[in-house]
Amino acid sequence: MMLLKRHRRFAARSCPENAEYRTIFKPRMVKKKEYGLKEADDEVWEKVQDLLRARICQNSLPENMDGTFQSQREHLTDLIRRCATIGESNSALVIGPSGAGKTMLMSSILSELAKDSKISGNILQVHLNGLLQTDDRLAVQEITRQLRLENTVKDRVFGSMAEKLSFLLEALKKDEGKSQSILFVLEEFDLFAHHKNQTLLYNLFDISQSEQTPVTVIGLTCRLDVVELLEKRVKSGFSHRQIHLFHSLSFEQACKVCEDALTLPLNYLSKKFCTEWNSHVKEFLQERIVETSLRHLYDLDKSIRSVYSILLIPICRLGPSHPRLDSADVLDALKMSSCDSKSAMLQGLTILQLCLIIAMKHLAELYEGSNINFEMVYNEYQKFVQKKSNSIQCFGKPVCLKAFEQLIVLELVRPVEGSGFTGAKLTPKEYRSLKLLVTPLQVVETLNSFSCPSELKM
Amino acid sequence: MEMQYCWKGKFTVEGASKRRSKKYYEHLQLPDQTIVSTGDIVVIDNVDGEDFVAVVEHFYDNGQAMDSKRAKVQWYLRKSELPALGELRMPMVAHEQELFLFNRPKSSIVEVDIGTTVMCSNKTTGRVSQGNMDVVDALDLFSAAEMSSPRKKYCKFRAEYKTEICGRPRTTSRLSTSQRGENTPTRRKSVRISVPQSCPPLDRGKGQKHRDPTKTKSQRNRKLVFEDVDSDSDSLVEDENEDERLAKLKRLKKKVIESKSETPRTTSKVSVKRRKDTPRQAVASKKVPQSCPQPGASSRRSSLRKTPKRRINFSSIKEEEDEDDEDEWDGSESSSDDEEEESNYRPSRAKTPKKSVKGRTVATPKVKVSAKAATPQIRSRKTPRKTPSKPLEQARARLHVSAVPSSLPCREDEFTDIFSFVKGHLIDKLWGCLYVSGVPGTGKTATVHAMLEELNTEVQEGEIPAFQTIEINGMRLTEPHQAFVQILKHLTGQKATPQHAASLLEQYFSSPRPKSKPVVLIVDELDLLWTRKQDVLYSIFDWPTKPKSGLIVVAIANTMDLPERIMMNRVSSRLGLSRMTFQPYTFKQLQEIVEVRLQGLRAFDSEAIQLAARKVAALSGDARRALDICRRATEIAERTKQKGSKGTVGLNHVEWAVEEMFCSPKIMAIRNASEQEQIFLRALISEFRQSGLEETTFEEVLKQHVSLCRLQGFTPPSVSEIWSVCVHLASSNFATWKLVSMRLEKESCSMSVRMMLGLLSANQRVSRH
Repeated sequence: MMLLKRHRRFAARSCPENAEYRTIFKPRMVKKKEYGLKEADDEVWEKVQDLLRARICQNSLPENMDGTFQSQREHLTDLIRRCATIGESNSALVIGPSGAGKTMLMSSILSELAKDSKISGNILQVHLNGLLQTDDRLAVQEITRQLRLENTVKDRVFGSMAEKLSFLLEALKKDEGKSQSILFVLEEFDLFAHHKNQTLLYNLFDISQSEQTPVTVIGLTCRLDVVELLEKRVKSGFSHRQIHLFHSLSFEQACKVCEDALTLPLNYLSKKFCTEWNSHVKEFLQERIVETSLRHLYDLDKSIRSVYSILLIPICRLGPSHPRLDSADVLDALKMSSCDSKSAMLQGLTILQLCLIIAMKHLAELYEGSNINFEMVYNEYQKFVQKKSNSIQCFGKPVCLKAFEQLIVLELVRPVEGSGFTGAKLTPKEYRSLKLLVTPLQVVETLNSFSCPSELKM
Repeated sequence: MEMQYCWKGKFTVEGASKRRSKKYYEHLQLPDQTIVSTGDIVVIDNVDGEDFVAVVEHFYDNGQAMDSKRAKVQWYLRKSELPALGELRMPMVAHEQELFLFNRPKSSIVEVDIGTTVMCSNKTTGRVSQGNMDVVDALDLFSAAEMSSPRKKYCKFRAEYKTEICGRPRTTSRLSTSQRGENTPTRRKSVRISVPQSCPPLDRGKGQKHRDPTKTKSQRNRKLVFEDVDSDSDSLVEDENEDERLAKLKRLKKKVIESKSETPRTTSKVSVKRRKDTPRQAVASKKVPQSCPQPGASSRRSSLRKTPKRRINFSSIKEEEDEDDEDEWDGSESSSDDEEEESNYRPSRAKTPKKSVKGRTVATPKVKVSAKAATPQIRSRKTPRKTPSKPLEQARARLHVSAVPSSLPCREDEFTDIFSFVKGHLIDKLWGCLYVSGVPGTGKTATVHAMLEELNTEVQEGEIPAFQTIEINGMRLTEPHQAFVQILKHLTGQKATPQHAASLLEQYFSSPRPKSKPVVLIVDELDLLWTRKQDVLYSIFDWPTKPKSGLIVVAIANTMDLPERIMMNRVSSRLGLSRMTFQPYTFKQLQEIVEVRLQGLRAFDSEAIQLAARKVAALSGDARRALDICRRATEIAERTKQKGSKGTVGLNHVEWAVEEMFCSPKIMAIRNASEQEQIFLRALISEFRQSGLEETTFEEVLKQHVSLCRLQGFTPPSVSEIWSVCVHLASSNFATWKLVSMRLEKESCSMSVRMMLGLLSANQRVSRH
């Protein structure tokens, strides 16, 4: 099926052998044009870092994306092209999980089509984002602004909302085959479906289904059931073209993408430097630690963005004194990204607070998810201390209560809704029902990983 | 020394009283016997060491004991004095000695008190540029110059400021801040400047500095008191206010002129004389002077000093209209201001050839673009549209929902019903409503439109009386009450607020209108006009019940039982019983619809059409879907076309299209989900199975997840990571959750859970292979 089309994101580049270049390289060159990894100075590294960071952070479109989502790309390109040339109206939804490359696909198509003057001269683009245009008023205003209709002066749109809407609809209604086609790109399409009455969507789809100005409405969303969100008459107007994008890179392909992202073009700086670097990148990605780290991220989230995320720290640490990507840095990055926030917070607690948490964990295991209150915790705590009477200091109730309140502030413990924390009847502090937000798993993990008194480790 | 300044030539007297009278001279003799005439370029020295270039407009004697000799001068800027901004905008490169008109409306022309001192001609300053900057530039220039130029230093000295804006239209409320400066009736400050013609800096009697770049010999102090006409140059803030005020004034004036509601101004004499012999002329002639009413202009001067300045207050400036200041206006403003000054100080103007203002005011200002005047239009294409040529392309064009055929197949009965209803009512002059309901895509709106077209042809044939059609759509309104506004706008072209429109319409439909045509009102998406009070629905259905209304309402909505469900009794009773329901299309009808559109084209296999029709009929009966499927099938056929094949759309293409449109993407989504996401879903399902509940907490799923991971030989990820997996899944709406209680909630989709189960096992099988 088309969805299973392979994603050859980047064509393999054939790198010439290093050895050749090394023999060509003369160490005492006057021009100092050629330098290896070790000879490179700050400036070179800065340039390299800039390039790699721009790629890793996905600031720009990937340089080579032949074959990525080929059928989807053809479908969308076709729609836009026909809209521009023939004036055929269409609507389509691009659906795919976040990080699958919906926006990238869209922008790469647009940049490709922009080269064709026949198309770029006949189509206007309107880009909306559900996170920015949170209601139809803003959206209509933004459309008017982007179309630069005549009621716009210097980014300000005149008239009341009703006037703006009717003006816009009036503008779009006129069609004698002369007006330019309009491409609407709605990002976060599902949020537009939450607008009141879905007026905007209805009207856009209505225009696309009637003989007015040719429009193409393309929605990008990550919700699979987005069509169900549409009201029935809006849904009827939608042409039901759903273009699905999924993460379909296999792990090997993902590694290849990483390699391509890290590879420097040979004509970038010094040839010797680049070849040395590229071979180093190859070795680096084949290191066991790196591979398992990438695998770990890939298993969690298949999007290329998540895989890229651990490469950033090694890149940022590059420099004359540190001329290689280091697997230790990768481990650092992985540790940072996979660090559990709650466990990290637990590590900063006092012994007393830890004891309380342990007591609560016991209680949670005992009562299986029912709520607890401070009295119960204190009771349990005393039992726990008595068990290890000689090693742990026993604190009084007020001290424990103070420590306990600290835990509430840290949101490791959370009051249950409607349990007398607010409102008219305030229950005494000690008896308010609470819920432990730390899982036993996290507690155990913390106790094992962190240097706390061995008495606590049961 | 002082005596050496004396008038030369004849003078003209102006002003009746002795104290106020002025004598105008043409020439002034300087101590060194040089004679300065009006129109000469002079250098005026400043105590601070700056000297300025000016052109003498005229000399006069105010008849007072002290400082009686005065001159009125127009400031010019040298190139070095131009602020950077102005230079940038200059159309051409300035000559070193070029002078620039200092075209600030208020303070560019000042009165200089020669007193006993001098004014000197300095012909060496160079040529004076004419029209080098357009007017706007000059204005901008000034506001920049105000901040940067040392001209401000004058004001520290002794300048006589007074406001000269009497009689100008002014807003009352909005300008309050900006008028701060002018509110005081007359403020006087004086600036003392020495005006050197030939004074070297070393020789400064009485502690006043003067210098002259050209004539170093003469060593005289000249004191000039220059009387600034406006009060705004002493502080920056006021300056800005001034600009703002000017802008507003302009608007006001424009308004006055545009509306012509106000009496034209009484005097606005254009001093041509001044321009005749000064380089300003070129610039000035470009300007279009506009001016405002000036009550009592003849007695203005006397009134100026006694009375508060503003006489006329124009209220109600539209805020919205002030965005675009036209450039012309800047120009006209500045020149008219000049004129006012002129007329202030030289009311008689015996020597000046006068020009009637009437001729000039005719020059119309550029029409301002307001929202009302704007025509709604999209930019036009660069190349004309292509027309489809290939059969598949033609088929696609015909299958587009917008390409409505001339006659609607399968809706003949409904069409005749509606048509005869409206026609009968029109002929019998009976007014009433018709309610049309039916699920989306059953041709309601299309039928009504076809009916209207048919009626119109009959009107042309003279069979039925002419009528007016008004169409509103509930979805195109921002708010139900806007319906009134829209109806009124279509009916009479008036604009009104919803409440006002409602009452106007009420009046319109209840009073007899023998001459006007009956109205057919189409209300689409009626259910959206529902309000709590139902006043919109009530009025719409109430109007036809009035005997003189001449109104037929055709209301269209989705739901059949709308009147019973949402309308109050008094509304539904007025709606009456004339209702019509559009049934969803059957597969035969759908097939016919597609076939009618494709008549004469060999693009589709007949089985293909039938398949599409059957699929759609089984799902919704929405004609749009059927058309969309067929359209998509043509695309697929086009792309997969092989050489030698017929090139028509076959069964497989339609099947593909149907699958694309209606298949659930969940299967693919799960198959392409990451390993941990799949494990999480599996954990979710096993949790649901174990508990038998539709809801579970994240903690429970976590346990399941970790144990599943262990089972499969993965190291379990940290809790944060699992949470992020969960969030990721939720963004695709596999599971919904309530964050507050950290609770995962299954949304009434045991079906989808089952589906997922099937999928996951299928997936496992796949992965085992």
